[in-house]
Amino acid sequence: MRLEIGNIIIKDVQFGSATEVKNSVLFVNKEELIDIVKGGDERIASVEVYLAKPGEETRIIPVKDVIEPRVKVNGSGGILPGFMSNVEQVGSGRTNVLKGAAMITTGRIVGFQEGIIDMSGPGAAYTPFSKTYNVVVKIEQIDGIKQHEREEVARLAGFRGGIYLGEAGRNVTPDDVEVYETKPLLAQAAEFPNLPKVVYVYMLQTQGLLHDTYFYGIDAKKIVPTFMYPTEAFDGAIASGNCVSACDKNPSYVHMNSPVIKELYARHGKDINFLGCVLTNENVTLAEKERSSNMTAKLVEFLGADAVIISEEGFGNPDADLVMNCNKITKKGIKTVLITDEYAGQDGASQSLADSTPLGDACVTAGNANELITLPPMKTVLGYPEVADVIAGGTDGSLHPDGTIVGEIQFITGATSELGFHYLTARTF
Amino acid sequence: MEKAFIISNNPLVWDKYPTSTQLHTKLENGYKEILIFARDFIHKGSRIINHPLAGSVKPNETPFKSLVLTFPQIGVLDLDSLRIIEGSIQVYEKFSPLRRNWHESVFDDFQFIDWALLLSAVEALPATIRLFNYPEK
Repeated sequence: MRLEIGNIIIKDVQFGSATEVKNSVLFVNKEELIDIVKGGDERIASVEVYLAKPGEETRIIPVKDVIEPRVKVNGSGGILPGFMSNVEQVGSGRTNVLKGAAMITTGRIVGFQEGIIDMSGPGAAYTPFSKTYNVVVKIEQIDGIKQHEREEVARLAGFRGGIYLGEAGRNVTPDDVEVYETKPLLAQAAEFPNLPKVVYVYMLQTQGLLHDTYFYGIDAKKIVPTFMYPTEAFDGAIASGNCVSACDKNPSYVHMNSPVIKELYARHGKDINFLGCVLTNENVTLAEKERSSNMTAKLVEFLGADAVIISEEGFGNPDADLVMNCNKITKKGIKTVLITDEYAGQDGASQSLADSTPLGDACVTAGNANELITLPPMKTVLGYPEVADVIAGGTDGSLHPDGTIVGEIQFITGATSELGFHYLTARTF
Repeated sequence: MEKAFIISNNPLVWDKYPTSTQLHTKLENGYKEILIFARDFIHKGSRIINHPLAGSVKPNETPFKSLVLTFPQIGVLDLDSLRIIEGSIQVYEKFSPLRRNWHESVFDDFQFIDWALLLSAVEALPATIRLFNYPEK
């Protein structure tokens, strides 16, 4: 399966009379976007659209999802299959990307939501979306709809907006084109017979409301572990229904740009033979965890992997899935490297994970979500600033009268991304 | 056929599963008490069905917790259950205690999320496990 990614570099976003890309500027027809985002969903009372650019004194809160504008130029299927297009196989042909632009949704789902993006100041250093030119849609739902419907309304509205913006890139010549290819298993194994065969075990958060992820539109808690060509992710095969904890839940944008997949491709044919991805879930019952980890280990063994990378999504309950995957795969004689983040307390001294295993002897951390941060007041706040008062990662009085927010970095979108789509790093001096 | 029951301090769960829930009314430290109750049941021979740390709503944010346990079987100690509950209690102890004045609507939302997470577990129960009242009346 071969996919070309055509990057159309976006250096600014402005409102305009038509939604189009001209000279690296994304122009957005506000009224048309509002209509698209509403999409005839009678559960939406109103939609407001704002622009948020790098360096501005703007805070977006609470962030529901971030979507990268993409368009399928040729090849089967469409972006975000199962939601915005049929369930045709994606991951081949050509996809154009408005690189540097993002659709961000904000909306109230439950009373304690988190997810902060600051476009400047100390908080901006913790989220990759302070560097993107953002089209922010604020979705107000009608009264009386249930929390799970609120989530769905906001999720679908964001997808519609993202696809609409992506269409602006259909006939634009990309600034650069990346090519990714994975062959069917036996051909792929034969292509680099002397290199270690690596499989990526891609764990998806799947526990219930605000903690769900979708694969071709299906709720991933209902799947059994399955194979995915890595390029499918670049077309939005994996879509987010998550928004708490904001630091380590992967927005749809991050699934479309997985640094783990990109890095494995970068080394593909050089020092590894990247066979593909095994998708698995993180369900709430122990029996489901046992079943999914058994099947993951079986599938990885069947694919002939010498080594796997395992990335976790979230904290607590999924630590048990991470440990089970690690143990069962390692016991098949396959090397594992784990990617997780930590909740090690504000001083960093506590046990980081809720579960552990001596077999997890190669582990990459994405940072400590309990680190304290002070976010100074911003001139503009988009969304619902009052939620900062009850935000996860905050405590009583987190939101000061002047708009300052004091709390843990777990309330910043993508601060400890377990796919590595963030800026925290460790260096030795 | 194996029997299981719910322990919960969440009024919404009491309403949803009136015949299979052991009620705990305490909110202050209620989350921890539910974990301790579950641990005691595990020592008496229960297995825990759903992971106590499900959901990213941290133990120091929500006061509500609902767990599914199998009926205790004398002479049984499920080590996986024990490891998971002890790990969860450790995590709870790590977070600083809840000290917020929640608005009523937020309270409702915490109840709803706890129920939604429990529902994921109840819907995933194998056909061989059914919910009953414990102790049986």
